[in-house]
Amino acid sequence: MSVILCKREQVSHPYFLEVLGIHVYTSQELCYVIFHHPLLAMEDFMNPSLIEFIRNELDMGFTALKMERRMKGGENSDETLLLFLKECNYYTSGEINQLRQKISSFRKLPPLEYAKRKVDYLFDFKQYGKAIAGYEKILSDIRFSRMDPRFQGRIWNNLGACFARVFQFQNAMEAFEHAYEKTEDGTILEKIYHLSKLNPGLSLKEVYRLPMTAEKKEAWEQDLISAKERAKDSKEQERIRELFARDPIKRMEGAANLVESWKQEYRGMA
Amino acid sequence: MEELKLGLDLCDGYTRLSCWGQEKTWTMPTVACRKKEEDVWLVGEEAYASALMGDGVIVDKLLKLVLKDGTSTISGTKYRGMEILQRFLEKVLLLPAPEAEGPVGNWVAQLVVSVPHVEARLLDCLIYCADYLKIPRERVHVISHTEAFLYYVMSQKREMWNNQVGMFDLSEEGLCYYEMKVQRGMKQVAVVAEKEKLDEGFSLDILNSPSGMKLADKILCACGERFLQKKLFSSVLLTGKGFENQDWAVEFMKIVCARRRVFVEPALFSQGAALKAMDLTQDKTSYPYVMLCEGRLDTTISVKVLHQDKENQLILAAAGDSWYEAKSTVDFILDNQNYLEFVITPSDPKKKKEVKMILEGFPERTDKTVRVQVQIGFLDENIMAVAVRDKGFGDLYPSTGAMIRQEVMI
Repeated sequence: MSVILCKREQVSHPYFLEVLGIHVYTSQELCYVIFHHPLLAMEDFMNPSLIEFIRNELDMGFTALKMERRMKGGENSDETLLLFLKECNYYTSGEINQLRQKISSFRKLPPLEYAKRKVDYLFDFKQYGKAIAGYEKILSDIRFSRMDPRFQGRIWNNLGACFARVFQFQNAMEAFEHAYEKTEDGTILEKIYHLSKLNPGLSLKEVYRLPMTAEKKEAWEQDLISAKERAKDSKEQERIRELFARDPIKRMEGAANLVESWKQEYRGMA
Repeated sequence: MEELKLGLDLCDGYTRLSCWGQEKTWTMPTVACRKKEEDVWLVGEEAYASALMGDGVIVDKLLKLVLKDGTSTISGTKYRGMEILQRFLEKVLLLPAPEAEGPVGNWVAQLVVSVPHVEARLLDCLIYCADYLKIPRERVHVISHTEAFLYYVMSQKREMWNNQVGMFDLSEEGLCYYEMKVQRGMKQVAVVAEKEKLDEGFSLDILNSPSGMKLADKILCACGERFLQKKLFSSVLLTGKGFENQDWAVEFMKIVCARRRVFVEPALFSQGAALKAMDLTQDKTSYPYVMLCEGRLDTTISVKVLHQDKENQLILAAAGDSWYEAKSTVDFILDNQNYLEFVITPSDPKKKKEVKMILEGFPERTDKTVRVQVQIGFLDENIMAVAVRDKGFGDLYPSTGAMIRQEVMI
């Protein structure tokens, strides 16, 4: 338990972190992103525009200079990240050492596992378009066929989930079929079933019909119904109901904002 | 025209104006008069004259009027106390610069107003008056008589304030005793001054008769013996209209002058204020002391913060700061705690205390993402007002709008 003093930072042009779809306004936020998303920060994160942001907006000219020199000198980029964290006094030395160990453990991962972890992060931040590209890159890697089938199944499964989130149900179905082929995991079968329900135009292949017993179907059907019920009572629905209960002027204003936020979200996904 | 450094002693009965670098001091009754037929204002003796002639309406006790937010109606126009004070100050501040043109703010480098009691309402009002006169706010400061006394004394040679300094102020407002001492041996030398309003105060009118003079001398002798005996004084000062002439205080002067240096300075408060005004225009202060007196905080307010893995004290307001001007705004990150703790350290460290402020309704996150803005200010020497606002954490955690205001006794 402690209190950390924030230094005054007059940021007039926040730094846009495209990968997370957020603007960064303070050094603390930048530290937070590095600390909590090291996989995203480990590659190509430190670039000239970020250095400029640190120099001009965060008013950390000396730190920016040190980082720039390290980058030009080809020094370990992970240490450059840690240097920035140290200079900001947001994380303690203990926390920075924890991060150092975490980064080092990531560096020791097999290349495709490391690549998967990075793309999984993009999925978590609803960057489905970028995640699809990332998973497809892993699939096209010559080392992929030599990987453990369970790993291969996980990649196909995640790719299917990405396609489903952007309503590309046909592609999602194909990806889940590949995932099931590799793992024969019942949960993937359930996803295939749900996809066929969401888009009746999709044909369910005979090979998948067989393991779908009547009992399983009934349970999945029940899951689908309860998911719909939950969606009805979700916060988003509540917000829309509240919006339409307002007077017409406020309603229109709120609706415009809501549609704008959906647009932003969708652009981020694509 | 060179910008002036002005010291103003503003009381209900009289007003004195000193200008740094000028010998002359302007003294007048604190009254304003508006002519009945036209919107022309007169102040001081001219105001009395106009009222006596019957062509103007006079308003006196301007500070009291301001403090009770009173009004005065002249020729059908209702004026608030503050508006009359504005007109009064506009006229008074022109005295050292009769040929000056444009708003007062154009030629005032610093204006320090010394008042008998530092009260928030009066201070606010004086700041609004400065706005009216187009004097930038950073060039206006209000201090207590006690602080003006400190500035005056500390500007003198060291031998005058090596030990204690006592002062009697006798005016229409009453009789007051001031005492100042220097506290050495701390990080920074502290000078402490206190004021005591004495019940023995009397109207200066009694000095017009021999028996009254005798009585006044007797009263002051009693006070002199009470305050000055058994103490070592470097000097004693006498100020106020009552001491412009000391012929009536023969016995009192004998007591005061016994083995002590005594100085008489009727315009001490305005001169002390002018010395501060001069000091404010300098890059480096000539008074590097912690001044503890009325109008200044006698406690230090700090918050424990973590910096480079070590716990440090971040001082939000220090003992010796003017409570009216001591305002701070800082942003903190709360790491796994839903409260703020203020450390209040008075001059006696044994009385140090910690005040916890629970941030109810604020988000509770454990990942160093609760960012709050803390604003502190003071309602008087003993009450600190704190406002805490959830600032959110960028796009990651937008602000919830949670806010708490609290008053803390210090």
